[in-house]
Amino acid sequence: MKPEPKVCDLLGALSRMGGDRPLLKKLVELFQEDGPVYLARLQAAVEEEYAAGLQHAAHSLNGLVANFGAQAASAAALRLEEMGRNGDVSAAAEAMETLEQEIVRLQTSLARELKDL
Amino acid sequence: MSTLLVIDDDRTTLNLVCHAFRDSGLTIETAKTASAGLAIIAEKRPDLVLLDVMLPDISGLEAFQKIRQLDPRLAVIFITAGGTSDTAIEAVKEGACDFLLKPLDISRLCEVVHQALEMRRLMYVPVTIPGGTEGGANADRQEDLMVGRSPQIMQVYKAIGQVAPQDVTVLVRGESGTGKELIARAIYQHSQRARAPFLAVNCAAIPDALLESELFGHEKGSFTGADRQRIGKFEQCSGGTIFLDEIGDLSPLVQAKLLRLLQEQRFERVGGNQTIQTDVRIIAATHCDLEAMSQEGTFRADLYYRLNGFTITIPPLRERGDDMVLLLERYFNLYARQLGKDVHGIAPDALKLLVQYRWPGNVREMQSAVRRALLQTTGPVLTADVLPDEIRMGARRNSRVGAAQGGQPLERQIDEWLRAGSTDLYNETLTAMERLLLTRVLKLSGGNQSQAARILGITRGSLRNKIHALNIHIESVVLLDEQPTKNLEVAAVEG
Repeated sequence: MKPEPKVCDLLGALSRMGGDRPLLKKLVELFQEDGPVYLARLQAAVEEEYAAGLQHAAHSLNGLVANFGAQAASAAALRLEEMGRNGDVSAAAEAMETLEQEIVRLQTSLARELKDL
Repeated sequence: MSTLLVIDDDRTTLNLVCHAFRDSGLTIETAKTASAGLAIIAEKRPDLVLLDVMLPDISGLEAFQKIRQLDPRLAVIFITAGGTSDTAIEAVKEGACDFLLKPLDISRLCEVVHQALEMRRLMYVPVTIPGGTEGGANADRQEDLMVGRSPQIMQVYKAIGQVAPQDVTVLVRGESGTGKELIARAIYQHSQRARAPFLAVNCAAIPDALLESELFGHEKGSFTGADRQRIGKFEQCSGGTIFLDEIGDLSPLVQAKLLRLLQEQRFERVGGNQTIQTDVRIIAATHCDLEAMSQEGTFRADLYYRLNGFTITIPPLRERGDDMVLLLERYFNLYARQLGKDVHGIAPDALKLLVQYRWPGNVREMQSAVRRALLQTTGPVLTADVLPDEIRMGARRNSRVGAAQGGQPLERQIDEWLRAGSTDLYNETLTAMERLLLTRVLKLSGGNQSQAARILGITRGSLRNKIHALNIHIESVVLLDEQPTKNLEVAAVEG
């Protein structure tokens, strides 16, 4: 059985950043600022059924959440990115919903885990 | 100082890259769009670009093509996330340096960036061959100058001039530390391919199993751990020049693939069926005796003949006569300036020792010795007492039973190199260790190489190569006239 994808892995993130906590905190702040912007862009692309825009916004969001080892959010963004690449946006609204839920879980998790770090 | 440009619309990437190199001495430029990045390239001529595969205005691949139009040799490393690694692989086929996967790992990022900058240095830092007027070294210009005017080295310059513009394979031979890479770069820079890439691969530094994939690439799933396709150097460098250093270390399998490449410019990736056509010029180098190896069967004779079409042999430093003094002057001035030492010259007794020394590690050893001596110099003149032990004791040891670096335990020697700020410690230590080991065993076997090879567990040919490379002299010494017993004495002559 495959393990559940992680909401986030801050220890792994910290190790990739050479143990630099202030850098990790800075990246979390940037995520908190930029995440909603990317989500809004993504939402607009889904509504407009604009495949190229969908692909790009999902790619950006994927790169952003990958910083924190957010496997679940990353997989959800990747799914949308692939839909955009293949030009098939029929299931995008549903995938978007999943992604939004994952982003909320990630935000909560980051806020909690960052305190313990 | 080198400049790195990172183009990515993701602020976390820009932040992370700036942070990773904040104390590195690199200048970092950032851009969030391809068009802003291209403007920076045109204006600031960076040395290296980190490029996101997907940008808001144009795709990373399109951006890469535009970058190539601006500067065909500019090193580009792609940044990609899971869904776009195919694009990055395509880009490497087109000549991008490498790619990095998100999430970025700082240590991997630094490693890839430093490799790319080294590649860039090999291509761009000019190798200057002295012209008619000697001493044209401009110390302030960033250049690697070939120094010397002995007849032996003039032959080398002449050969470079002859062979560089012809699109043929070249074999560069010479002992360790003689500057084979410099010769390869000079050939490249004076060739018709000078505007195309130059890649250097040290065949001895990469394990056999990985070398095949490094050179020829592999297909996804071709072996455990091959989780995606990889483009090898021969494919990546099509149109350019590849420098294969330490070619005597190639495994039989890689030798066979290389032979076909030299004959047809064709190969298959590891685990692949598709035949790839490429167009690379090969400059190979070795310190090994390839004739002997091909007679023993450890190096393919047909490959040897293919490589041997045009050979440049660099003489060892000890055979270059007055070049030794020119080189000493060059490194003395260079390092004194770099280290900020107000030292005016080399004392006569120190100079005598330096010139008498046999320099088994050749120019590389000389660079390291001069640098170490200058580091320890406190007065206005470099004196004999700051010279490394092996040079101070050189004259005496040349005729004595030798031990590694003068019988000093290896550990102490390593400490000394560390203190002296060595930047070639790995090579220095391995050379010292090999010399110690071989000398001991040869002494034990009374100079009998077959017996020594058996004890060491290496082939006789390999032992012969090592004896030659380390310049170990096996001499028959008659002790005294009235004592007719012949005694074999092994002397590790330092050069």
